[in-house]
Amino acid sequence: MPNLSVLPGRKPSFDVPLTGNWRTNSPFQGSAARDFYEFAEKVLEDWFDTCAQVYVLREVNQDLSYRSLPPKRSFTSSVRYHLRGRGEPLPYSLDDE
Amino acid sequence: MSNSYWVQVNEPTLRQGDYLRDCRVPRFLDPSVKSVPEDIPVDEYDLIVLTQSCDLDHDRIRLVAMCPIFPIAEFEKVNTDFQKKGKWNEVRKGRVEGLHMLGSPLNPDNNREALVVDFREIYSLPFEYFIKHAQQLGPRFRLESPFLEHFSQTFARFFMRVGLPSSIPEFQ
Repeated sequence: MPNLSVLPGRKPSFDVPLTGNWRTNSPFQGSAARDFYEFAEKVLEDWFDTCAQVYVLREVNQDLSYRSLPPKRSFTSSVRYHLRGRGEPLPYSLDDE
Repeated sequence: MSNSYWVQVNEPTLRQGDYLRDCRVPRFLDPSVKSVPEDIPVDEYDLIVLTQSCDLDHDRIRLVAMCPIFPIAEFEKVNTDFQKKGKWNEVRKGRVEGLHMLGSPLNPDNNREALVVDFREIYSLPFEYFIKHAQQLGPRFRLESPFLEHFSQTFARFFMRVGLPSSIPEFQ
């Protein structure tokens, strides 16, 4: 099954957390911090992919909906009702197939 | 088997796929019956016959089921999203529920003159009305096989679809 992805040139409209110099502002240091940052980046990458898929699905759903069109012309007509009584069922013949 | 979508006919019989212009659809909004004349709104549509030809043949029905049919340019005026590139291709490939595209009767090679049927709006009007209206219209277009069967099947698939409360998660 092909993966959904954002079309080239189209920018998703959701917010991405941890943008900018989020590492620089972090208080963590050393090798454990490096592992933590790598893991955080992996989480961010997966989260971004998931958001992109949701975004594409939402776009597809929105794009393919439509409104039914109004009539070519509308006017009013004066009518008088003739109540013919309750409608009867049509005769159903069972031997004409 | 024909390569063209439509054939022109001029006869007082109705078949599935008949394209009838300027049909009048009365809208009865007030359920009370009045003894004095009353003004009711009447809408005018181009409609295409959905009822199966065999049912029309054998006088088995009192009402004929029809759907509105529009030139795609007219459809775009209300649904401006469809002006975007690629949208009509989705309809052409049958990926938009409720819409079915048919080639132009006069210029089938020009996709900008194609027609679109809206299966979400179904009107049933008396058989006699459509017979008289067809006679008044004179020559009209009738959908040809196998485009007729394709049209009929698409409507059936739209009408028989089932909405599920949940689905199997998507495979990644």
